[in-house]
Amino acid sequence: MFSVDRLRGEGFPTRRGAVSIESSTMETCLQSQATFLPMLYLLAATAYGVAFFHEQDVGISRRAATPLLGFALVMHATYLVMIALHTGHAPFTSVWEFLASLGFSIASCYLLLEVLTKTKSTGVIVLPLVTLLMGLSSAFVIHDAEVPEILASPWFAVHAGTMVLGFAAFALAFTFGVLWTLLYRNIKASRFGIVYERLPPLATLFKMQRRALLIGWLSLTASIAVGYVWSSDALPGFQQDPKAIVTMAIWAVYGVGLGIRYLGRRRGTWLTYFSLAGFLLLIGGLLAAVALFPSRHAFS
Amino acid sequence: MDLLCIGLSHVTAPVETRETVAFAPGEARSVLADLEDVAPEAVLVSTCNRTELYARTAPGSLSTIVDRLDHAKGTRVFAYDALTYRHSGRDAARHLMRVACGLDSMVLGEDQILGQVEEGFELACAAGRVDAVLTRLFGTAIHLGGKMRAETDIGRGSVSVGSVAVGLAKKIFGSLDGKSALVVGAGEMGTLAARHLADAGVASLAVANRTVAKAEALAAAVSGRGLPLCGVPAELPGVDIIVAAIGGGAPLLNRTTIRPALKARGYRPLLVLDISVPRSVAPEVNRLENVFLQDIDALRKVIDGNLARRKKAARTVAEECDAAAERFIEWTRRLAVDPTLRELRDLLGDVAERELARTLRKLPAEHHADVEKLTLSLVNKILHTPTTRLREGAAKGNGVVGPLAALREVFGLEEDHEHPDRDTK
Repeated sequence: MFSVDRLRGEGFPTRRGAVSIESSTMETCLQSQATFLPMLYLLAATAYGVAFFHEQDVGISRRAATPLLGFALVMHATYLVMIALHTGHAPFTSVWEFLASLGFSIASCYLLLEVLTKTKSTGVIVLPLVTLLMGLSSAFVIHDAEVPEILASPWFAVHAGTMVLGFAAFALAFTFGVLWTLLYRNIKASRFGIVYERLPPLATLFKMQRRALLIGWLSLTASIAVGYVWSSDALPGFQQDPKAIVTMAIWAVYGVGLGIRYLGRRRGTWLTYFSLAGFLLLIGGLLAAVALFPSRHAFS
Repeated sequence: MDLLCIGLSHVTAPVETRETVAFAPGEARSVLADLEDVAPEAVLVSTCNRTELYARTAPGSLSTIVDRLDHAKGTRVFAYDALTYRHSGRDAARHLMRVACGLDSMVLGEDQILGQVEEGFELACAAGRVDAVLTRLFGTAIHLGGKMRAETDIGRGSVSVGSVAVGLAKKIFGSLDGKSALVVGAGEMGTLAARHLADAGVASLAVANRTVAKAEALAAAVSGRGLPLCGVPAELPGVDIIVAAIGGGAPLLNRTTIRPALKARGYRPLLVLDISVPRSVAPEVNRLENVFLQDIDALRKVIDGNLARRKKAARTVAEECDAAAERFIEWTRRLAVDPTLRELRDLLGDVAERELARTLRKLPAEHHADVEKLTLSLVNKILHTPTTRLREGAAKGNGVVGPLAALREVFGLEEDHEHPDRDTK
């Protein structure tokens, strides 16, 4: 994620909200949206949970889960647009804005995959994560913080936006990969309990994982491409940045996994292993890069 | 009129007896017509596991019905108490509810019976042999059967080896569209498995057997291909599901035979179901990537788990059946008082109409609506208490024959149609 702290200390000009909408009214709207959204996601997560754990439930929770999530996403999109209008920059400039955008991306990707595969039973795992991300964001976000002018660039919006979408899709691929592995091992061991009963078929989980990986890898590719083009002017020497190197490694791992699947036509467990390894590298690599190496390209 | 159920099932009679009294649709129509004089309403439910007649009959007509059923099939089975059961009233209603919900089935909760009950009812409807009572009874039972299967575990989960195998395949592949299967062995288990897979919609099915002629015969029955046992290895790269139902000797499939096939098939998932005893697939096959080997014990475990869940649900379903039967009986009792109440309402309505007509002639037009309203209200208020009390009493089984007779006597209801101008004076 991006942090402006380092940029602030290095002579980048800063700016506040750029749009002259009545500030206090907008602030109130944003605050109420920020309070409302985690509750909405919690409601959707509850509906998915009830539908998952009550096999006989053919009633309101099963029918309400997807529309509730759709409504939450519309409200969430409105909230992010309002932040952008209020602050004059894309909503990725602080940890808390980043969490709100990540939550939105995860929920959107999930809904897309749910609709494509007609499978609701993984929502019970994904939606609590989105609720948590949005809850943390809402609790700590400040909407009128100063940000460096460089982060108001449209290039930054595209670069960070595609990066967030990529991370969200990889997080989903990881989730589906874990569920796939769980079900795979249960069937192999002839354990026919709740995991076997309630999770979608292996083929569906694999398809969801593969599609999430593809979305993530294409988004990451776009983000890296935009980042390199933009950074040659905005952040010279960016290519040697530890975070950029880790990101390239992540991109390569996922790329090899997808290459083996699509070019080598190899099925089986390989793609899942790449998906799990890639995500662990993503989390571990980025945390290590932030903790161990100073960087002007301040992910944290 | 009493509600009566007479029949036999897998619980009371062996298969050789059940098959002698199974009614084909034509025979069912004929016997329903034959019973018309003793049973104003009748429905025959006849399947491979049960033959049951539900009828609304006059008291004392049981022996006639039994004789005619036996006569229709040329047996004495229905007259033989040890092979049959007879229920009446609430017990008959409860029995049908339990049958429709699958509580009385050989495989607890199986859903075929619900369709068969529906077919029996439709046949009787088409023959004009049902009226309000049996329509209500069968409507309730069919609705309850569907509801219980949707809302409880009574019909959930597979409980036969074939359906468990198909369920497992669906859990791995999602759908069987475009999947190909190989059944090794054309014995009883192989035949059942092949039929289940064909019914589940696999794209192609091959049957291999030591005796090729048997393989080809089974393959022809399931629109598949027959092949000799030695042809199995060549099939492995192309199949997604293998059912091994052939016993004896060394394992037919092991790591050495399957591993090259896996590579050739791009490590696509392969489900191997070994239902032979002794096993014909080496257990280490399960360690291969994306190969899922399940033996008969694993399948049995699924069946036992599903049966346990069904048994647990059966308690709730039984309670629902009792409650539905009780509601039906209350309804039939209310039905017994309805003709008298209808006659009484008609009688008072006629009186009110005539008196109203006489009075309205003497009144200015602007008062007509008010007087009509007053009269209607009076009739309704007078009838409200007797109607409610009689219906409640009937529903509770409190014996309303006496009050009904008194009501008819007091209001002269019997004479209603004989003296249409009684109130004209």
